[in-house]
Amino acid sequence: MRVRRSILSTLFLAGSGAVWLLTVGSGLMILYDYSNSPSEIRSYIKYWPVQSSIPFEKGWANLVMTAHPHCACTRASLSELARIMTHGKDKIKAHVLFMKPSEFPDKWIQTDLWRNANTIPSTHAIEDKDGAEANLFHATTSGQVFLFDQNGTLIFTGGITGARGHEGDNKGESAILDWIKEGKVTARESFVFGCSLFTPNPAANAAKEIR
Amino acid sequence: MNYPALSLRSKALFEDHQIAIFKQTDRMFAYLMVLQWIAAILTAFIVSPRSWYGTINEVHIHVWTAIFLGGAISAYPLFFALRHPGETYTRHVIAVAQMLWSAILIHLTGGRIETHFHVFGSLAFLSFYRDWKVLIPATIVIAADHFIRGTFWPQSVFGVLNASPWRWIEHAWWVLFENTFLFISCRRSIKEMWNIAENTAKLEITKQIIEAEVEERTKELQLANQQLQAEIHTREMAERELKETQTQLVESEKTATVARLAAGAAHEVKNPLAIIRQGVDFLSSEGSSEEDKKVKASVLGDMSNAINRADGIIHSLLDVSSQSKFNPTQADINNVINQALILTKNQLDKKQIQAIKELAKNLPSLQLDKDRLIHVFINLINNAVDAMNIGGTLRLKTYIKPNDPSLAPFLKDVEDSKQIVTVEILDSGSGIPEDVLDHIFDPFFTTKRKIGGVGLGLSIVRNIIQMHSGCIQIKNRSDAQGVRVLIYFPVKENKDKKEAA
Repeated sequence: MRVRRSILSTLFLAGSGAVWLLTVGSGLMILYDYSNSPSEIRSYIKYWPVQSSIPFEKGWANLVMTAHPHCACTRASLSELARIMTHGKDKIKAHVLFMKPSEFPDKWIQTDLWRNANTIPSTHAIEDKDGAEANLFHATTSGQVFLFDQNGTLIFTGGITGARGHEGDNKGESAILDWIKEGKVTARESFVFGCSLFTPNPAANAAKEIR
Repeated sequence: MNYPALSLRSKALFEDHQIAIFKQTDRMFAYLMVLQWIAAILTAFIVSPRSWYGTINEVHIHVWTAIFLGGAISAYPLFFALRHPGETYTRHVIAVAQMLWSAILIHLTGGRIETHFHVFGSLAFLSFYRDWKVLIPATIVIAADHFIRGTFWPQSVFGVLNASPWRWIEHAWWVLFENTFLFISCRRSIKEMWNIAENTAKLEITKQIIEAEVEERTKELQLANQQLQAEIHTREMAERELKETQTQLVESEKTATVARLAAGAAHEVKNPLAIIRQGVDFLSSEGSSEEDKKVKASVLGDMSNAINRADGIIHSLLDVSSQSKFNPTQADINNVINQALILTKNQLDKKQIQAIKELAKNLPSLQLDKDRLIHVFINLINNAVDAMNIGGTLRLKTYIKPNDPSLAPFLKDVEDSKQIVTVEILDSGSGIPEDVLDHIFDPFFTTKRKIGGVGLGLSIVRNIIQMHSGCIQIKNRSDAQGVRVLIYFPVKENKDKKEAA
């Protein structure tokens, strides 16, 4: 009787333990999958868009980063931008475009991301009304970076984080740092991890809105 | 000491202690699991509450992950910690869960090296179990996590894009490095627990031995006490019997004394009565001649003397039995002695005896029955005169001396006295034979029966002196021939002074 109970207990323990590990493993896999799922890059531009109202700083390389003011993942992108600009502040002028829908008040973009962007060397935050500038750069995702040389030619575009919200070494950051140090990029593009700058479709509008 | 019992008890105590530690640590980890879960949810809500798509948003996947994945990781060990605390599998499940928390945290922080401290902290916490085996599943899980993620997604665990395929071994090595110290710590803790268990077992067994010994001794004492009680009872019975016997003896002695007194009195009174009877018979006979008248007058004189003698004997017997009233008054002993000397002057002069007085002045006055004491001194002086030849010397002294403890057995109320008035009478007579000295105070003991002594004199003297709380000693003189009489009267200061006032 006692032996049977012991066997049952062991089986229960083994079975429940396996279910538990599978559940936790599945959850981790979903989390990893989410973290490693990049946003889609629509298309590339080759030169600084002439319609842009952002003044191109002549004699400097110009870097543009698009940002959603409430995207948690973009916090990591700004940290990486700060690292890049620490090395490249003498070569690069950076502009961070914070998308602001016209129906939202001004304080909507006054987040910690906005304040962080303004503390980065040779960088200034710009309000991008309804994402008009982002559209000119064909940007769709928060955290996407465009690097133009002194002539306005695009030399790199993509994300500067290795995954969603993950700081640390990554392909985009390395490409820009290589250009700063050696004058040539080792990669012309990378995956972008961040929130979508634009509302994807009308069906999504059914989701909650926050004003 | 019983070593198998000690070993068994030590083992039991050690296991109890170990189970208590396991359960306590399980409880601590249960709290930690809940805290980590709550902290993860709060952090997700603060750092990444929502995902944005332009102007619309939804709950961020990190929040759902914190709630459900965090909940899944914590709930399973929490169940075992609450339902099966102290079990081996409980702490192993907890170890695995804690390492899964480390894996998630490392992932969410992008493989930040700082977050790896959660692994080391968790291992240290797991060592609270003092069971190094619990470090094994923890080490396996964290090493496997580092291996899998290091291989497929190194940035998640090491924070870099390209990591060496062996880097997970480096991390695992550091875990083993810490495990080495935790292993040593666990072993030491176990050893200390064994020491504590052994010492406690020794104390317990020693206590049991002492308690058994105390119980045995108590029983022995109780037995001895019972025996002692029985002995005391027997002794009390014996003492009671002894007292009864003594009482009977005293009664017998009294009866004997009364009988002796009665016999003495009868003997002494018999002679005068015989004389009186003969006288009565003679006086009843006829005869009226002048010769008869002379003879009858002589017989009447003899009868009168016999009656006086019988009356004296009866009076003396009354003194001996103290039936007559004792009437003390405040008086000076020197005056009493002087009066006695006046009354005995005729006897002293007949034998030309020189009486020398050395009476101390300023003696304290005493409570004295003067008449009786005069009788005492007359008796003593007469005895001395009888013992001395013509031209002897009689010396009478009075003086005061400090209380003498050696007199305590003979004096009444001597505790109240600081001083003793002493009367000393010294004669130059023939002294008293030693075999007679022991009997001189016995009633009707006399060496002068031929000359009319009845043997009550000294008995009466001692009786009267004892009435005055005093005592008398009669011994032969050591400095010359003769007898030395010493009479002591304690001075009852308070009483005497008050009465004097």
